[in-house]
Amino acid sequence: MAAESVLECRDLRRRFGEIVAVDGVGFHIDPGETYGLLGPNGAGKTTSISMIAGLLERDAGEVLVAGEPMTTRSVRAKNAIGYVPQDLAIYPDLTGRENLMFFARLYSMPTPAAKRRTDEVLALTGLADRAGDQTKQYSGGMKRRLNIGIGLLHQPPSAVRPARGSAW
Amino acid sequence: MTAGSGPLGAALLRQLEQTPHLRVVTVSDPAALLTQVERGNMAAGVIIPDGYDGAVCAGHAVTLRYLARPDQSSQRLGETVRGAVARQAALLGAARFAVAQHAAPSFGAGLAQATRISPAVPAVSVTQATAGTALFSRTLGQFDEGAWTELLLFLFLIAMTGSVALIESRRLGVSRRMLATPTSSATVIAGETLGRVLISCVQALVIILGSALLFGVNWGAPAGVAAVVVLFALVASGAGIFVGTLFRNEQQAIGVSLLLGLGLGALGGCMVPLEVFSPTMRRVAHITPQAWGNDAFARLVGHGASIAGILPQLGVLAAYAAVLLTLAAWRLRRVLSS
Repeated sequence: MAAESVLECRDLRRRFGEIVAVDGVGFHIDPGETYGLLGPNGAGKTTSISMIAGLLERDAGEVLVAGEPMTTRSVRAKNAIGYVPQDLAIYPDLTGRENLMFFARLYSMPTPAAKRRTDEVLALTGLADRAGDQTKQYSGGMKRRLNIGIGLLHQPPSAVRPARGSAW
Repeated sequence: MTAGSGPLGAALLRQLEQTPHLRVVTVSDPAALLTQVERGNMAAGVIIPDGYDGAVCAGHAVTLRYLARPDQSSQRLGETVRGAVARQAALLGAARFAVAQHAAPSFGAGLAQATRISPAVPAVSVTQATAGTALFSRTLGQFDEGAWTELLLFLFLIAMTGSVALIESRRLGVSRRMLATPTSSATVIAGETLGRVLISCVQALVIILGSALLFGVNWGAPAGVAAVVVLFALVASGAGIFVGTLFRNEQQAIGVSLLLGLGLGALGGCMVPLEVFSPTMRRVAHITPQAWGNDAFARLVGHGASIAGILPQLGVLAAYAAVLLTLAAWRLRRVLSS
């Protein structure tokens, strides 16, 4: 089962001083599966996802993304996951296309591939006709679509998105 | 100086040329001479009017114009010029006296006689001894010192207020999102730093080229200037990023950046020259990178030093840059991963 999983977490633990934020979380997600973390405020959902996305070191446990161990320094594991922050994380002064190209370069995509993939994501998110506009001129919905599009830019086998009260 | 034609004008020019430590350049146009003196490219100027020889030989009064900047060295040069004119006036007086006493048939003959005899006439001489050393071994142009102090002040201030961009990037969540990509945090931090360093270097280049072309500012050895600018840009960028990691909103960062930028600039000699500081204050001033930058430029411009002559100052600036960039990287890594 573990070999087939796109994401596997084993016994994740994280403490902030005296506060135990995550205590022994474990689950696995198979290809095609949508998985939600539900819980009240302070339950540790965002902390878990930060560890899964390689943004936060864990005290104990293991995260495997597409079979690759995830740490804050992992390259292959980070290439296999798409992270979509719960708040918009885009540059308002750049256009939609420029935002996508910027993050494509952070995923080390060569320029021709980055351009091609940017066009595909713009089409997928329905932003192709506004690609040259600064994102501060976008509506709230358009910004959210671009925010998700950046997470899908490098075609990851799995995507994580923290949200207030839930995650997928 | 501009020289009127004729042997007397030429003789006056020769006298000035023979003065030790004085370099005489002949300029054809009085207006050009005025511009050169105004810009500080020449310490002073003397205008010998056209028809100088004729007027003097005819016994008319002639006025030479002496142009000087309002600083002490330029005023002292006036004494040298007056001395040379007085020596020539003594010969002219002697020639007229010889004609009046019928000892010479003409003014020209009398002048030739006086010129021939004068080296044998015992003269009163003044010897001068200099106490202490000159602040600058070269004469600075009018804008030279002001240009480099302003450059350091603005480079630091602009880089510090650049902390706002980092806070915005953090507030937008873009910096954190970058860390979710395979790009390492070291690369993200290097990118943040190098971007700011590059902007600072471009700004410095514009200021240096603009001031050199428009105001004739002398910046000294290019390699030395480049080294000071790059190291100072690294220091300023490190300070800017560090401040950007300490505060949560732009208003706080701008307030602290202005306070630090102007305060350290004033203390480091960017508003009032370090030379007027008391010895104790000068020592205190050297806790700031601005003071070391000012020292480096003073050596490059005021003493004509090469890059090898400012290695101690470059070493201190490099140490500042290393400490500030390390602190900034450590703080940035902490705030992005928290």
